[in-house]
Amino acid sequence: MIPALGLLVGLAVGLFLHPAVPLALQPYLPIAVIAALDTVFGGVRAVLDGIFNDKVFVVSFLSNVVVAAFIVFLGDQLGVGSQLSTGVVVVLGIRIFSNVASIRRHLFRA
Amino acid sequence: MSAGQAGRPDASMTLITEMMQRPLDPGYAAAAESRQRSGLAPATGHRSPLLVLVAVLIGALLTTSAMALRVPATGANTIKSDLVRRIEASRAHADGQTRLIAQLQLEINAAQAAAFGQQSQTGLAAELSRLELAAGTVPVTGPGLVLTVDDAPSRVDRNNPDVGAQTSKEFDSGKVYDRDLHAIVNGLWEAGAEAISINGHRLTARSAIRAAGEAILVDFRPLTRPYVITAIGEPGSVSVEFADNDGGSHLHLLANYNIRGDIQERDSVSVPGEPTLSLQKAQPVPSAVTKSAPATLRAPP
Repeated sequence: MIPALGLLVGLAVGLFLHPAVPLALQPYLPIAVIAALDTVFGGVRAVLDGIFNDKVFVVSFLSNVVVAAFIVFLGDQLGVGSQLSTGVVVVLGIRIFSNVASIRRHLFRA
Repeated sequence: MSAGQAGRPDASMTLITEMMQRPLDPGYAAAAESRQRSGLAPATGHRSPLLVLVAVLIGALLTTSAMALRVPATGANTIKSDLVRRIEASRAHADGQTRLIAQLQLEINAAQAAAFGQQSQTGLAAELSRLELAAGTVPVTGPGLVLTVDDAPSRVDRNNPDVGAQTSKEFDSGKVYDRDLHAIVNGLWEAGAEAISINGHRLTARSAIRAAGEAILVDFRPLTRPYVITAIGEPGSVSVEFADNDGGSHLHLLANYNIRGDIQERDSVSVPGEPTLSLQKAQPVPSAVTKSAPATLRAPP
């Protein structure tokens, strides 16, 4: 519950403070968002499975975001930026769907 | 396959199977096991400050990206729609002025007819209508041909109206340029055409065909493809002579670049007039006809 409140506080902070994102980082924002969503759903599933660990959550969030942004950056340097980012989005998307499916099974027994 | 390993039939697809069947980070399972081995509960609490901090960070990241990524699209769109609105307003104004000119022209014609009728200057009236016909201010009809020129089909498919239109500095071999229309129209005049219009705009002695950016303009009015050139003349002889002269050979050359041009002869075509034709500095040289007319009826500028 407390982390959920923290999430809401973060949403409000972003909405009202409107921090300016440097132009160089803007292409990596979408992929960072998807990586963050993947860790959030993974964390919720771990909570429902009873094996949640906050250190693992924090480390996986940071590493997911950094690795995803790095892969997109590498792709831009090599000239295959859109293809690599498509690949990253596909993988993270599949993971998000699987995590959401098991969360659904926990919550609704369906 | 070694005897000690249990060989799964899909062992070569580990990448896909790992991704689809174990989306949960194995770190959670490993950490839970180690905690259980040391006697603690497998899950840690929800209240560690680090966790709350990261949750705040994630929320801020979500909203910041949503707001940062939303802005550029609307910025470009508002500028574009503003320009489009200004163009349409100016064009509507120009159309209104043209209608006003046509209406005033009708009034002038009526006044002229009344004046001619009063003074029985039928000779002058006939001279005026002959001059109007030749100058191009009145619509004309007669036998002729219709020549349609269009850009190359591959170029047409490539046009994406959503992409911001920027003037292309490179020569696009599949596009009809103003110099192509120059050559074709010149060829038609040379072949004996008596009245020519492009997409409904009459070519008079003062007409210019020019290019602005990617558009071709006739007298400041932009044309859209396909370009339909209507010419009045003797259909058989005009088309034969056109095919023989420089205009026809230019059209033939354009076919190499997939620019489609096709000529159709018609028994009756009509070509609109150009009512806005006017001269301000040019004055008529005195001749026998104008000297005999009363001063009040001399043609106004």
